Amino acid sequence: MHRFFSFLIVLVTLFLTTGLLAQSDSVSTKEGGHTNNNKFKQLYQEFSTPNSYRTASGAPGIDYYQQQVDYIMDIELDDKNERLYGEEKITYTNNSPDELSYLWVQLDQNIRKKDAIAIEKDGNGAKPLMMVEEFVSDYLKDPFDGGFNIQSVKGVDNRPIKFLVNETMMRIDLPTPIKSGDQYIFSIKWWYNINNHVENRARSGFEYFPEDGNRAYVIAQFFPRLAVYNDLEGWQNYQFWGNGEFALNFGDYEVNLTVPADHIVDATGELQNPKDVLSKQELNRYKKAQNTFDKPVIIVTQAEAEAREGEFSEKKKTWKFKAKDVRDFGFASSRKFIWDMMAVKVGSRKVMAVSLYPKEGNPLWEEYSTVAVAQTLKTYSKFTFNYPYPKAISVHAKNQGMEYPMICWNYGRPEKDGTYSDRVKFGMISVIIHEVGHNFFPMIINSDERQWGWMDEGLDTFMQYLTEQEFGKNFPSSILGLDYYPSRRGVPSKIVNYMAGDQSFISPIMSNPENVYQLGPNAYAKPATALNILRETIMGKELFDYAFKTYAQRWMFKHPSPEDFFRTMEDASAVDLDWFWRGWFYSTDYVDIGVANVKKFFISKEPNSEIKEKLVAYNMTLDDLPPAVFTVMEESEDFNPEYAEGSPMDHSTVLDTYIKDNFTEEQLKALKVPKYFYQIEFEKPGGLVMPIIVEYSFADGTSERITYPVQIWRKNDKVVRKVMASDKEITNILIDPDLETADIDTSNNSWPKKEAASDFEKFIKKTKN
Amino acid sequence: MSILAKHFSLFSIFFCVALLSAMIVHKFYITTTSLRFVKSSNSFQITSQLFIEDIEFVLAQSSIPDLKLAPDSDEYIVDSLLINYFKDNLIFTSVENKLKTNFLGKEYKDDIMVCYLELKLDKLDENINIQNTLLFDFSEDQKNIIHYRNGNQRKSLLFTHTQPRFTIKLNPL
Repeated sequence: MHRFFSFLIVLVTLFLTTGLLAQSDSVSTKEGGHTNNNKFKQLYQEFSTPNSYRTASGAPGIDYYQQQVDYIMDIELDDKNERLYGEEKITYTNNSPDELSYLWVQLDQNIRKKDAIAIEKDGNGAKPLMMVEEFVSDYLKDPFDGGFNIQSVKGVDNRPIKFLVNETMMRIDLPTPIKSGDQYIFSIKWWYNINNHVENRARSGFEYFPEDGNRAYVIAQFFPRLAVYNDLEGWQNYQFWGNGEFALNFGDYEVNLTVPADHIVDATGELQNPKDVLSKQELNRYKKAQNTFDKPVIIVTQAEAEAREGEFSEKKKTWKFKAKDVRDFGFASSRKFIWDMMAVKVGSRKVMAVSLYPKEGNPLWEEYSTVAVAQTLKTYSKFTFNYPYPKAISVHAKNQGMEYPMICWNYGRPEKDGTYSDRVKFGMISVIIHEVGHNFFPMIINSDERQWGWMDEGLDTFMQYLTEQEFGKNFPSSILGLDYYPSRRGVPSKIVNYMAGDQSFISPIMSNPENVYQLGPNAYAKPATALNILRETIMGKELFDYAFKTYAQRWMFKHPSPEDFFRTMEDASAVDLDWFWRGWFYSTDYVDIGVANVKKFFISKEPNSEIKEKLVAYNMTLDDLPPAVFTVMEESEDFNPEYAEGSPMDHSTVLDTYIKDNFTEEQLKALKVPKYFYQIEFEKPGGLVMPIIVEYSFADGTSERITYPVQIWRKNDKVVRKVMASDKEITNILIDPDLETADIDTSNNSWPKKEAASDFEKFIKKTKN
Repeated sequence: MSILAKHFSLFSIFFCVALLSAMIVHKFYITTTSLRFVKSSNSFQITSQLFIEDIEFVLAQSSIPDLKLAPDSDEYIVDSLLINYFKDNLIFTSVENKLKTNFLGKEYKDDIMVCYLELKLDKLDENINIQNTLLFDFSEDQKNIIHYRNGNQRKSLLFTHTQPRFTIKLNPL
């Protein structure tokens, strides 16, 4: 009995070492210990401790708070002198539990000061070659001065309030601290020189049209805006350096925009005085559009806009807008604007989809802009919540792609003769979907863009992919000749080049936008692709969609942090994702999984030589063993070609007896006995753990897909073996057959080894034919 | 946000990002070239990816202002311009002399132009010098990456205005 027992231990040990693939046989020196570096380790060290502001489930806690900041503003656009004047009354409500002795106000325009420190933020060096315009602007031209001129900061009593400007941040030194729950009202008067956004590639400014002498203004981050104070950052007063966008408070806005009388204007919020600013004809069309759901109604036609181009009215008009629960305000103004809109049904709500564009955008804009806006509202609403604002506007602006609440600037300009390529068309539809989509992330799900670019860009780009695909289905004429909308981001294979790139130019997604090498792939494409993989490959659509919607609804009109997203996705799905966030979001690891080798084995009459040796060592015979089935590797010396013939029962009396003793006649008939046994060794040169998706092809032409869960890598991060038993011979094994994991090197994905032809080889082959 | 127009949707293919930062021109333009040494034929397979709009702009500036790519306004002229452009901006030299690359052709994939070139070596030079100034005449912030592969040996090189040259070792055995 004792001997038998110790042999069992030997057997178990044998089994374990095979299962775990011990890395080394020789132990010459004793290895030191280590901390937990398992890829599945929970994210306790990366995440902050849950508290009453933010719960462990990823939802706002019982003490969650956010500040409210309301603005009443009078703005005047001086078209002739390219200047913007403003006076704003700010009501700050301190909902925090803390007493505030100062406020921080963001002065984003100060990044355009002549002497802004941000101008010197990047290193450079001597260049052997420079474009002439760059040389002139770098070394010869007087720099443009576009910073804020703060004329006054005053309290309700009209007394000046002390303030200090530190680059793009202004501290308001309060006469008395604002207690928790109290309100504070003050006003700021300012003006600045408006920049040409085409020349300096800014998010806000004007484009000048030399043919008719007009400007088209797209104006944003144009007024001093309160910084965010919250439980995560205290004051979010990280300077505006240019890449990290905005952290903003929700509030209500009343804005009076005074512009030349012949300008057409649209802005964040609902127009309060259409009767004062529109002609009778325009007003009729405007009213008609409010109930037209099938196609856009043109409020200002191209002919009317062209007629306006030469007016240059000296008179002024004031357009009044009101917006509730928005985090910002933007507007567009020009006498060049054509204006169309249609009503869209979103759930039980009616939303206006609107477009503003100069004639330079036509005929493309008239055809696609407003319908792209409408599709965006519908698809995003389906995956998050019904779009809560009354409108969404897409404004044509050269080279722009920038978002604000209810309004955004988009590129896409045809040639002068009105022709345009598919590139221009799809580029335009995609950017409209993306920027209108930003109404959801970060305008309503109000993440901190200054700190985390990916929280809005990544989630928005992911949703953009889903929307583009639906757009293609709903407007088949727009993708004529293609099977689906040509999305440029979201498809896993398209992130491979980035993931495979030089590690010294890659940063983890969880990095500040100022400090990454390639913001595009870092904050847009990689998180979007990661979420797409999470949805389609890791979680499945049903679990993902519910959790994603939960996140959106929990944080609608609130300020989520990355952890709130990570935690909610797990909490609502019961899928452990710490390994996924750790790998995809906190590291620059990449996916590379392959087949290292495949070994065939058979049921044998006798034990293999290893077991035989063990028996001798333990002074045992075969009879001392409990009933056991033996196997031998095809490649080993113990292999006898006979084992490949017949069924396993023919070669194992023990198995044969067992089956006959324990199975009924019917059961025996139904029994499927595998004939071929394979040990497949998978290798993982990449750092990311992922499920192993395997397609086994058989000699009879059939195939079978098996997905081994990601947990298979728990105990060995490098290699893992699996046994595949089948009644058919395996002819081919292929990992990730649909290219859904962004595997950076597919040359090890198949057995027998098949190096996929490179683009170069494919091209040569094609041209030879 | 605000990534510039044309490049907006393409990072995944390769990364060329023009960031609209307020006030500061903050573009991030990158081309990617795969350079693969094939021992059996003693040659390099070169695959370069450039944004169509960038190369279109550069070629039009140096030739016909209304030159168009994808579809090409004149395929013959475009190919001839590309041959010259690569000859001037992707230069391989050995210790002794300039090596001649053959421009095999191009194809368009979405917004990307993929160019194929081949460099055959007469003898196995140990050191090859590469100068990559592709699209340096388009943007002062242009950066070019070459992914070099020789058997299992892999290396990435980043070419910038201030460092447009690198040397690779072929290690002949």
